[in-house]
Amino acid sequence: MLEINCPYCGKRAQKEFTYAGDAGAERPNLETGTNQDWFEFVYLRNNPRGLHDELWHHSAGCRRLIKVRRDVVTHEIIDTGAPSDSLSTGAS
Amino acid sequence: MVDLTLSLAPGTYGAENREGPGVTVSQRHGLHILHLAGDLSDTDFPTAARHALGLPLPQLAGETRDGHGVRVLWLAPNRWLVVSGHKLETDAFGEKASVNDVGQGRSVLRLSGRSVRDLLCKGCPIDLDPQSFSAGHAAATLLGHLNVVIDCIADDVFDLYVTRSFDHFIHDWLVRAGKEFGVRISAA
Ligand SMILES: [Zn+2]
Repeated sequence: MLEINCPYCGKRAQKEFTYAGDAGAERPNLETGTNQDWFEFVYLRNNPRGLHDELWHHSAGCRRLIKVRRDVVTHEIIDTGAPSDSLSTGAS
Repeated sequence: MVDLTLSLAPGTYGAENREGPGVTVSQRHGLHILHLAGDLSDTDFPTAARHALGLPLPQLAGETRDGHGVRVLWLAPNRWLVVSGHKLETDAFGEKASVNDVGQGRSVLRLSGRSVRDLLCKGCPIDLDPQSFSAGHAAATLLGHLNVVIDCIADDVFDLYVTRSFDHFIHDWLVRAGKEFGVRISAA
């Protein structure tokens, strides 16, 4: 099980969170987005090996959405923050 | 309010110890519970809230404050649970606050005894070591799959806020999980 550092509550067990998708998916512009843009936004995801930014919902805690940068190979969590935060790359 | 909760019959369940049951469960009645939401960065809100409560809002994660018969629990950024023995006027929190009376939907259990932390640990993922979760700390978390709020009152005394319709389930869970310690359900 992962231990996720909620930026609001502190370190909590994964059990308290619900995965809420890719944090990198960008909603197309309502006016100018084409059908293809919307298709990509709704259905297509990268499947990177390594670092991945994800949204998690702290559903059994503060009920806020948070952003988690996780290495999908090792499960190591590099950084967490609010969805609007830019997260550290872990390279120090 | 008519109390429709269906709890287990009062009595002692599980192991019998010479020192008595490790955990005692009793229901707290007559509490007024409000869910308070408001933006702390708008100074009107915390000022009005402080007047309504008689104490400042806790602002740290998991912090609780107590005074004038009111207990305030931090639930999330800009969200609090306000628990009092007397009724608080919801208007008193000012126009910038969103106040909801959730008292009818919550059941509040008082858990006490020497084994209370060991019992809670069985179904709760947060660190309940006295060093990290002591009196003055509260957390919205899980207990046996249920969303609960756990409020530490004293070293071996906790209040548990549960959705009222799960009252029977949570009693049942406490009794099953607490078999090895002995659990006393006290009469309402
Ligand atoms: Zn949280």
